Amino acid sequence: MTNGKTAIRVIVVDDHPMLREGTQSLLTRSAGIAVIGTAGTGAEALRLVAALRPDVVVLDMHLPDISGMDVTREIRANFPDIAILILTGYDDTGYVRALVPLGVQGYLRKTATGEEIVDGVRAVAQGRLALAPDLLQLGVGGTSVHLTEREHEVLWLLASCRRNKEIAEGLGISVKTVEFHVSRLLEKLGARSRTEAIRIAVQLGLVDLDANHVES
Amino acid sequence: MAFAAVRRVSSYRWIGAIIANVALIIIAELSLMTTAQLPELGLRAEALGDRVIITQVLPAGVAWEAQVRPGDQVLSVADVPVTPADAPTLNIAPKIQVRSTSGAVLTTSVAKGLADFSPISVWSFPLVAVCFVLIGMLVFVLAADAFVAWSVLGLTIAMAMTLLAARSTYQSAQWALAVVFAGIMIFGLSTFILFLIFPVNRLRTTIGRVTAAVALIATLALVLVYPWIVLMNPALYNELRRASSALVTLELLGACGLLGLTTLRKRSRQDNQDVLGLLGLGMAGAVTPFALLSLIPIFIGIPLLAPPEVAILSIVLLPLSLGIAILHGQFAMIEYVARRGLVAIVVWSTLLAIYSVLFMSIVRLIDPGPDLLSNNLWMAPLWIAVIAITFPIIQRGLRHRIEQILFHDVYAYADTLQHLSIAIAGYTMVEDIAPYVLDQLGQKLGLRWATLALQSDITPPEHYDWGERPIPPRSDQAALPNAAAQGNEGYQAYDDTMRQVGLVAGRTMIGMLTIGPKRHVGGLTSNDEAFISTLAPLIATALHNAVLIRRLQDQVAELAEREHALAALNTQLMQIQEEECQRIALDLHDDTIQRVMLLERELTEAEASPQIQRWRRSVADIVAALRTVCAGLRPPVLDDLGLIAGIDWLVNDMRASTDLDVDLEVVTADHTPFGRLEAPLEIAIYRVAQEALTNCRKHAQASHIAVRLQRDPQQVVLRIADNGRGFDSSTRQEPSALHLGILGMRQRLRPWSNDITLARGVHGGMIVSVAVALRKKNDND
Repeated sequence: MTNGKTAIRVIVVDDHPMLREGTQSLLTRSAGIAVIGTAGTGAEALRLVAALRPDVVVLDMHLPDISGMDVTREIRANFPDIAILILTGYDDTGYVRALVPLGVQGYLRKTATGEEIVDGVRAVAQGRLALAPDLLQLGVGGTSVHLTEREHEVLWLLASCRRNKEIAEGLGISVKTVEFHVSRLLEKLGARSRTEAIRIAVQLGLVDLDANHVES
Repeated sequence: MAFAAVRRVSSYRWIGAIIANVALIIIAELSLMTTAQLPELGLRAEALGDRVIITQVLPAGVAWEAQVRPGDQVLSVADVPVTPADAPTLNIAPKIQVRSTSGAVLTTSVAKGLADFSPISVWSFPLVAVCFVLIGMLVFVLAADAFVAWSVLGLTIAMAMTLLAARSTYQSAQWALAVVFAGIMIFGLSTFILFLIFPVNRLRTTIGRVTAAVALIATLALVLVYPWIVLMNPALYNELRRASSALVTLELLGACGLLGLTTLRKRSRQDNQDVLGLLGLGMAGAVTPFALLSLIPIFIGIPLLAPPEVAILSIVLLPLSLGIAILHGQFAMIEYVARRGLVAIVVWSTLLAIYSVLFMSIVRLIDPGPDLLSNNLWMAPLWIAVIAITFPIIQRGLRHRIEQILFHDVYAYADTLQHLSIAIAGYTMVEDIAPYVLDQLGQKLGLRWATLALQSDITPPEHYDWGERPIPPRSDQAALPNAAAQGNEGYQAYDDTMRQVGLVAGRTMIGMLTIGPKRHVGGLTSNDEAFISTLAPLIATALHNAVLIRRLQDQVAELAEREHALAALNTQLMQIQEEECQRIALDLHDDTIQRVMLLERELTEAEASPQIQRWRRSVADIVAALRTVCAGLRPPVLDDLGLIAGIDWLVNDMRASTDLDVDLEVVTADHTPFGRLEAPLEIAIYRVAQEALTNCRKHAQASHIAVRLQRDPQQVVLRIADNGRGFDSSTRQEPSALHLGILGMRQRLRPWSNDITLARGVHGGMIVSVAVALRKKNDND
C-alpha cells in the first residue's frame, strides 16, 4: 500500500502491443502513477513482479502462455500485498465470480474509458474495489441493475416479444450483437429465459409494458 | 476260436459267464461237502415182515452199478444178517449183500466206489476243470462270433462241471449223477456245434442247420427225460444211458470229422488262420482222447480203456496249442488279445475265489453242523443274486483299472464319449478343436497317427496331424480280403491300416478324419469303430460352428478395425476442427477485437460529437458481435474457468438466442466445488452438451430444457432433458439428424466413455445422458 505522496508503481501486462502501449501511455500521463514495467506474457509478468514488487499489476486475462487466472493466483500466493486490476476483453460474469474470491480488487473492460482505468488503478492501490459498474452487482452482490444504453434498447424490444433477428433489424446491428446483449441482460437480471427476463425487468420497473405494444 | 476280431464282452455274455461261474462254484462246493459226508449206496429198502426188500435204486449209483435193482432181497449188512430194523439205514451201510430177483447173490459196498476213486483224481480232476474254465473264459471273451463263444463256453463249463462233480458219483450223490449226465450231454452238443461253426461256418448251409437242430433237440429231450426216468422209472435208465452215450459219441465223432474235413480242405488262408487251425487241433487233440478213453466207456458200460484221471491229462494239449499260437511271432494281435483275456480271467478267477471263500465262511458260520448241504441249499439263490449284482460291477472296475495300467488304449466308451462331447462343445476355435480331438482319439484308441483335414467351400484347406504318420502317407487302400469270413460285419476294419471318416455337418462335407493303425495292434475294434462314428458328427458340427464363428469373428474384427480407423480419423478431424475453432477465436480475440476495443476506447476519449457517438456505438456493437462469434467458436471461459463456466455460458447463450427456458443444475458430492477436469475432457463434454442443446433447439420442439451436471468421486454425469416431442422409433422423425448428433457425441467421448444413452422422458421429451468415469484425480485446483 502506498500513500499519495509517492507514485503508484504499476506493471502493465497485456499480450497485445497496441493495447499495452495504450494503457501504458494512459497511466504514465496520469499523476501519481508510474509504469515501472510492461510484460507481454504471464511468465514475464511473474518475473517482473518478483523483481520489481509493484504496487499494482494491470493484468489482461488472456496471455499466450499462462492464463491471467493463474498469474493472479501466483501473485496472490507470493505477494499478497500487490493489488491486481484486471483489464480484459473478456467480460463474462463468470470471470468476475471466479476472480473476486481470489482477491482481485479491480475488474475493468478494455472498453472502459481512460478515466475509469486510471481511477481503477488508484482505487485498488488504496485497497478499494474497482469493478465495472454493471459488473459490480454480480461480483459483490449489489441489488441495483445497471444496464447499458444498448441493453435498454434490446430489453425494450425484447419486451415486445421480438425475435433476435427482428431486434437486430430494428437496431441496425447484427444478430450476434443482439445475442450478446440479450445474454448480458439475462445474466444481469438473473433470468432463465427471455420471458423471465421481461417479467423481472417489468418487476424492477426497467420497462413499462403499457408503454409498448405488447403482443401476446 | 475266432481271434479274427476282438470285441468287448457284451452284457448278455456277462450273464452267461456269471451263471456258468456260479454253477461251477455251487458244484465245487457240493462236491466238497459231499465228500465230507458218509458215502451212500444209492438205494432205499423197506421191511416186509422179516424180509428187507430194496424198493428204489438210484440209477448209476454204487448199488446200481453193482446190478442191484428194486425187488432184490437184502441178505446181510456189513456181513451181519439183516434185520427189519436195518431198513432205514441201509443206504449208508458200508456193505450189503442182496439176492436179486434172478436168484444171484450180489454184493455192493461203498468201498468199491471209493476204491475206484483214485488219489490222482483228487488233484487231476479239479486241475483239468480249472484248465477248462480258463480256456473257455478266454475264448468266450475273445471270440467274435457269438456261436463260437457260447459253444466253447458250454463245452468247457460242461466239462468242468462234470469233472468237479465226478468225485461225488462214487458216493451215489444224486445231484452229482445229474450234473455229470447233463455235463456230458452239453459237452457233446457244444463240441459238435463248435466244430460245426469253426473254423468254417456250416450253419449257413441247410444241412448244417438241420444237423445242429437235431443234435440240440435230442440233447434237450434226453436231459429233460433224465429226471423223469431217475425218479419215476429207473428201469428205463439203461436205455437212456445207451441213447445218450450214442448221441455224445456221434457228436464227438462228428466234431472230429468236421475238423478233419476242414483241415483237409485246401485253403488259401492267411497265417492267422493257420494259428486258428492249430488251436482247433489242440482242442480236438485235448478233448478227444479223454472222451474216447474214459467218457464213452463209462456211458456204454464197458471197462475203461484208461483211467480217467490219466486220460484227462491230454487236455494239456489245449493250453499248449494256445501257447504256440501266442508265441507265433507275427501275431502280436493274439498276444495282445490274450493278455487282455488273461487280465479278465485273472480278475474273474480271483473274484470267484473270493466269492467261494465268502460263501463257505458264511455257510459254516451259520450252521457248523455236518449236514451242510441239505440245510443250506436255500442260500444258493441268494448267493447267486448277490454274485449277479456285485460281480459285473466289481469285475468291470477292476479289469478297467488293471487294463489301464497295463495297456494304454483302454477307455470307457460311454464316459469317454460324454467327456469328449462336452469338451468339444466347450471349444469354439478350430485351432483348439482339431488338435484336441486328434490328441484324444490318438491317446484313447492308442493310435499310431491320426490326421484331420478341413476342406470345403466354406473353409480354407487346413491340415492337422497327430502322431508320426508314415511318409509318404499311404493312400486309401481297398479293404484286404476279409479275414473274418465268418461274417461279422464291422470287423473288416481290422485289415485296414487306416480308416477315413467324413466329417459332415449340415449336409456339407467339411473335412476328413483319418485314423491310422493302432499302436499295439493292427486295427480298430468294433468299439472303436462305434466310438469314432458316434463322435464324427459331433466333431463335424463343432468344427463347422468353429469355422462359422471364425469367419464371423474375422468379419467382426475387420469391421472393428475399419470402425476404429474411422473413429480415429473422426477424432482427428474433431481435434483439427477444435484447434481451428480455437485458432480462429484466438485470432479474432487477440487481434481483431483488441484493435476494435482500442478504437472504441479512443472514440470514447475523443470529442463527443453525435457522429463520433454513433461510431462509438457501432464499434461497441462490432465488439459485441465479435465476442459472440468468438465465444461460439470456443468460449474462453471454458479454458480459463472450466466446464461449469463453459456450460453456463452455453446455457445462457441458448437462453439469449431462443425462447427456450433452460435450467442448469450443478450437483457435487457434499457441495464441494465442481473443480476442473482434464482439458480435453472438458472440451468433449462441453461439445456434447452443445450438440445435445442444438438437437433440442432444432428438432425437439421443446419449451423447456433441464441441464444437469453431476460430479461424483467416480464419475461425471451430464443429463440434458427436454419436454419436446421426443423421439419416436416408429416414425423415426429426422432420424439421420438425431442419429448423427448421437454419433457425434459418441465420437467426442470415445477416448473416455461410450456410456451415452438416449431415453424417453417420463412426461415425454428426450433425455440424453452421458456418464464419464474419472480415471484419476483430474482436479487442477
